[in-house]
Amino acid sequence: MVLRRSSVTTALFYRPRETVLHKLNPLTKLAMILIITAVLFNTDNPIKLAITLTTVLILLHLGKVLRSSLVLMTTLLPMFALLFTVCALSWMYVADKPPTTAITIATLITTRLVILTLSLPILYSTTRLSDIARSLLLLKIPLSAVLPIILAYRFIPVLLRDLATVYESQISRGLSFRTKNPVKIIKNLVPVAIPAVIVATLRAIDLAEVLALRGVALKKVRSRPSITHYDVLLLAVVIAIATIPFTT
Amino acid sequence: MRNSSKELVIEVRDLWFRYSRESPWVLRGIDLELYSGEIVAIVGRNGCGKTTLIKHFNGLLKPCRGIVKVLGMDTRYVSTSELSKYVGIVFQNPIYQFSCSTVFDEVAFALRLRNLPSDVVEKLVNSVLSELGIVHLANRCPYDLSLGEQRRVSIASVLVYRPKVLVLDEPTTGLDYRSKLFLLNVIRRERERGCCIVLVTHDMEFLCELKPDRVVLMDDGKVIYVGDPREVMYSPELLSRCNLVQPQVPALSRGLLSARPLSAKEFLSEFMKMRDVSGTP
Ligand SMILES: Nc1ncnc2c1ncn2[C@@H]1O[C@H](COP(=O)(O)OP(=O)(O)O)[C@@H](O)[C@H]1O
Ligand SMILES: [Mg+2]
Repeated sequence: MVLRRSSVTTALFYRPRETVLHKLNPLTKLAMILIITAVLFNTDNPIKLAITLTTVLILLHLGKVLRSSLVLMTTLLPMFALLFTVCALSWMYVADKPPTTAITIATLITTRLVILTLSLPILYSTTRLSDIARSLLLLKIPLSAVLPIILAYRFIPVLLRDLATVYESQISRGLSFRTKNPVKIIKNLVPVAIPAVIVATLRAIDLAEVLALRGVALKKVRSRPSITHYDVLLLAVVIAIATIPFTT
Repeated sequence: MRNSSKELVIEVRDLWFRYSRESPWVLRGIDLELYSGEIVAIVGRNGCGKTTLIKHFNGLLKPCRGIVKVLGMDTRYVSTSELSKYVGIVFQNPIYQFSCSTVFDEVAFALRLRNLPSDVVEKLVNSVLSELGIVHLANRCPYDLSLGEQRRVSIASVLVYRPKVLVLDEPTTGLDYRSKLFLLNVIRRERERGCCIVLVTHDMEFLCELKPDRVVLMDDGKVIYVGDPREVMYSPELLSRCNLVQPQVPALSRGLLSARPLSAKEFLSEFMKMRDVSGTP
């Protein structure tokens, strides 16, 4: 369990750049992701999936966040591997499908999630958090729903740092993960998980108190991000590409 | 060069370290030797790399360049859990390590990981609890304690397996005067046992009371001075270079006394001596 913290956290957050994608209206980018999601879950054709993936990669490239997004994906690789395995096994043993069918289904589900995850940086790596929040509020989503999302997001690097600190304290006292025995690994995760959860809870309580003290309340959104011709153009392109899977 | 009866426990040779390829060097060519039975204070401003340095002592971090040896073992080739038998680090914030529901279990944590029989565990835990004056807390939950008590628990949880090197990262932050005095006595007692104590701090007043054997002054990832605490405390240039303020007793004594006391007690005895000399006609 090595937390390559710096690369993960930089990949998870807004990177200020001067690109077309950065200048788009956040709602456009949100729409793109929704469209991509819709496409992903409405096709199982490998060619159409490949086209969607290419679109995502091109968009990430346009936003100059392709490399960092791929770094993040390599970090998440074990998670996807686990997902694939669990999926394949459950289709095989729980749903009683032949192995080839089970593996095909598991591949499809994993591929969809990989592409979906990869498409998220289109929004969050190229948009200031405050702009995302403002857009969500413009969609008439109440602050009480937006704020927790924003806070949770802001919390990720803090929690990763806490987790690393806990991990370091415990292996400094002799805890070891250098074993192949899965039962032992899970057992050894407990002394890392407990302080991590407690520290996170304490932080959350502090945060809630601070927010209450400051009298967090719903405010009117003043300036709205403008819609430019880039928004129209790129949205059109994505819609066009997205329609390909539905034709034929 | 040094007292030959003292064993070299940690050897740092030209250590360079940075957290990633893109980030700047945090440690730039550190050379350091730590011996058994001595108290070494590592002092320097926030962010100068003290915590980064001590994380090399048990292999949590591995050098980008240079070598760190613990009892002759190169940390690059030994796991942290193995090195932790010899080097105990007490981190700054105790709550990051509390994973048990009672103080007793928390202190027994490291021993149980080493699969010691339960009667031995009980004996060792009880003796360290009484050393640190927290026997009465044995059945309390670590999270419910005051910071001073939590710090004692975290020190106990490391001392319990008697490491050869005890590293304390800023142990005095947030402690009241009494707790600091208690800590001072714990540190001195461990030194008597032959333990090497590394104290990371910028609490200069505490250091004047403790009078460590050596002070390591760090600035911007480099060691800029190693030596006698008196030299450091009486050198305002050296201190200001590290963004540190001269502690009260040395500041008061400069220009007033020819001797160089560190603690208030020393100051008083020197002051009395001077008054006796000048007071007699
Ligand atoms: N995990 C980390 N990742 C990246 N940079 C770090 C990390 N930990 C510390 N640093 C940086 O290294 C430098 C030294 O930090 P640290 O060793 O904690 O200093 P000190 O303990 O002397 O206050 C700081 O500039 C800090 O920002
Ligand atoms: Mg520090």
